Amino acid sequence: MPQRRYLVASAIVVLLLALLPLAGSRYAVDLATEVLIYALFALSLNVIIGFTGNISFGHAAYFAIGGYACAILLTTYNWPLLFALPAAVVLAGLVAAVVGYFCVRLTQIYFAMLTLAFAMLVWGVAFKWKEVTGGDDGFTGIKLPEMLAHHVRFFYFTLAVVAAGVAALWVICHSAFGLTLVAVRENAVRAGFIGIDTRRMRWAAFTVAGTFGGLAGALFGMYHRGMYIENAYWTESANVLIMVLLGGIYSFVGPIFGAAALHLLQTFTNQYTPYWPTVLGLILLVIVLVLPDGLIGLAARFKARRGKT
Amino acid sequence: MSAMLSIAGLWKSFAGFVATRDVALDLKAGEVHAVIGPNGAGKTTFFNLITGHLRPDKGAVSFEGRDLVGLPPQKIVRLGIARSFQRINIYPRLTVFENVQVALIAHEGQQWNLFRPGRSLHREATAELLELVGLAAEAAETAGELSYGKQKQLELAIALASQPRLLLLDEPTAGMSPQETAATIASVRDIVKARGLTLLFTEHDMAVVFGIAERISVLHHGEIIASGEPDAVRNDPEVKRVYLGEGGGHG
Repeated sequence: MPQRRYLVASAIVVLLLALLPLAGSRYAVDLATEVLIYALFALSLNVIIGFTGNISFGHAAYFAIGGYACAILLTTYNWPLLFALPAAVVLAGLVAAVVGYFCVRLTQIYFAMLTLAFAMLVWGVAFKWKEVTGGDDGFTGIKLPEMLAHHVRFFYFTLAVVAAGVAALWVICHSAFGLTLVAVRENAVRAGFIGIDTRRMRWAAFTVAGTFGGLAGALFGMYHRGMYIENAYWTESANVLIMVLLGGIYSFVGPIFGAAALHLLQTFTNQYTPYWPTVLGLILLVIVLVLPDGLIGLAARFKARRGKT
Repeated sequence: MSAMLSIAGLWKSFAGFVATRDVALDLKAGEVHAVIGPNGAGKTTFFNLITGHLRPDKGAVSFEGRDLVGLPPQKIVRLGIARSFQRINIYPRLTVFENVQVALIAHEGQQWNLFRPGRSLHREATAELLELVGLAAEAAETAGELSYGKQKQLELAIALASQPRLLLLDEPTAGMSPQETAATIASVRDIVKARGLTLLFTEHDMAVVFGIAERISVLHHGEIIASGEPDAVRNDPEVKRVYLGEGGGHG
């Protein structure tokens, strides 16, 4: 039963991650926290890309809304985390539902441009609404509950939330809904002729993606103790998009590997050279030219070759 | 007794080119009806107008008393009309099994279920449908990698999964070898009989048409120039002139 194999593999991964703080390296724990957050962010974007076949250039909007909302509720309004986090996630989902309502009327490049336009609006709000968001100074000094103040505790919290988020996305993507979405991606016309309202399906997928993107953003803000307008900027949308493409859009776990690979690569590259954008350019080139299915596609090709010889 | 499908005064033009000209057609429940005509006669447009893929400029289409004009395809399917396409129209990256399974999920309205694993649903019904169209052995294959003829069979299975009462097949044997054509037609006839379906199909192979159709309508330049029983249509002078005489017995 492949289902059980995945379950065991994920349990082992979570367990190994849980053991990481025992190594005693603050640096490793922080890096792992960041990778976990990006993994959830990338995975949420792939609900749109991999499961409906449309590219969003504005996914940072929901990340930022989740992040800012959680930060503001915790700090400005002194809400307990137990309420602030769910409220932030719901808000990101609601905004995604509103934006998605308009975006799913379009497909392909027009869809992508519209998602970008809405994301720039969100960025504009974060920039201009200074008294609430802090404007271009960022929203800093986020109040975290005492019990999450320590970096190891926060790592465990992130691990638990991300694991739950990934599990929820796994269930959704493999449900009847998820399978129908793939059919819509593969052939929207045919899907219409089996009785599927393809636009509503894509709308729902957009909302799911925004909701989980918001969850990742909320974690991100708490981890950095601050949210900044760059987190809503199109470069952030592009970054997570590259993570998804690097990992592979046709596999559920692909974006997780893409997020880990890109973030670790960026961190290590920055230690040796200031030319990260150049390296990023080369990575993009490789994806487009030789890895259309991402790292997962590469792994599958190796496996197929080994199977033949 | 009123007709199951009733079409009257149907018009459709594209940028001045009239593809459907004042078409009227009544289909009784249980009837096997063929629409024939040379390439470009407007057969596919006619199907697209019935199934909601295109909206007619003028005219009425009603199914079991319900007006279909203006309804989107997904609503029309749910009323009981399923179709196949002349050009292959499947989900190429899904397996053959999943291609049919998704149609069953949609038919049961389960596409909004975010929790039940999709692959566990309707396994028996899917297997039965694949068996019915002769694709049981290919169930696990990627649909896009099937041979052309088998993809056509898959189209049929997908259409049947919507549990239609009226089945529209757009050139079900286009591109098939003579052997495949004969087998497909035999299986379509059996399925239609066994399930008590009403069948409206377009076809260019005359042998196929006269073999199974109970009534035939001939489309020419978007217009129905003759409609009736096979013998009457075969002997219609106008039909002879525009179609049967020109192209011979094999389109």
